[in-house]
Amino acid sequence: MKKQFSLTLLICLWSLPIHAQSRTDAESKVLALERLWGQAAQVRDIRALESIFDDALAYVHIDGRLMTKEQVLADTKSVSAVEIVVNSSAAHAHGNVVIVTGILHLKGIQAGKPYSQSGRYLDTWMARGEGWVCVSSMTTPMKR
Amino acid sequence: MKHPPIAAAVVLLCILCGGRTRASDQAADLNSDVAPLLLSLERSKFRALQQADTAVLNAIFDDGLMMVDSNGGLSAKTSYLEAVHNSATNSLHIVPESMTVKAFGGLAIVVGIYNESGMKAGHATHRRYRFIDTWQFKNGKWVCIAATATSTGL
Repeated sequence: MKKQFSLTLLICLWSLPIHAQSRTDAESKVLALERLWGQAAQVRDIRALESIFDDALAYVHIDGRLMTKEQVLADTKSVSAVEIVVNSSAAHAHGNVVIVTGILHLKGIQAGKPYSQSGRYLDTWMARGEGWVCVSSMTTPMKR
Repeated sequence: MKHPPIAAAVVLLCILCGGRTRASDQAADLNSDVAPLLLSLERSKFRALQQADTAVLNAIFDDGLMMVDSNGGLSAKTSYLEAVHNSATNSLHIVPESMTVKAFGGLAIVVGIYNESGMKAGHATHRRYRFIDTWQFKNGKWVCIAATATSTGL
């Protein structure tokens, strides 16, 4: 509970007013939100994830499923523990829009068997009110 | 420039349909008008991909484009256009199957599926891909600032 409160608090802090943000500020804040997203997914902090995703989120899972925000949250609740490691993430700002790309590695247990997957993700973030929300996300499996 | 009239038409389409609004104060108009325009631009993009028409793609893609291909490779605009130019995609049929537009004022997302069929490296191929393209109303026209695709496995 303490961990979830901390994540929610951090998201609020990182979503402070965007007015007069430089390009670097916007990119830094969105990259921080990306890190929080990874942490929230690992501990299944649904409240934190709710504030990260726009209601109209379009999400394509690494297995190719197209999901709504509600489906992503339900999926996060239902899956067994997963370890998420993100690297090579980079952000590119276009005014009130930020595109983030990176590589993620997933490790977990599915149907009693360990699995490991790597994918390249591309997320679109939009300035909304006092902060940033993710409006789309797709992860493509990386060919080995 | 393999198809200058098509490239000119795409640029004209971007300017005519985009230029009559100002991004911030006419967001509602943008949202109501944007879907047919973006679907038209998407169809132009798929035709240009099939024909390896980099002039059309150059007009559609923003200079800051980030592209994740269906193998998980990351490209910027220049390297992607070079790859298209050097590829033999014109032996393939690349056809969108379904597309949905989600508009957010001066930002829009197109989510869809496209089919790729034909001969690739001497073998018959048919693949189905899910894609998300991100469009932004920029300098009086809509440009694609990010694109990503993944195999549906079918």
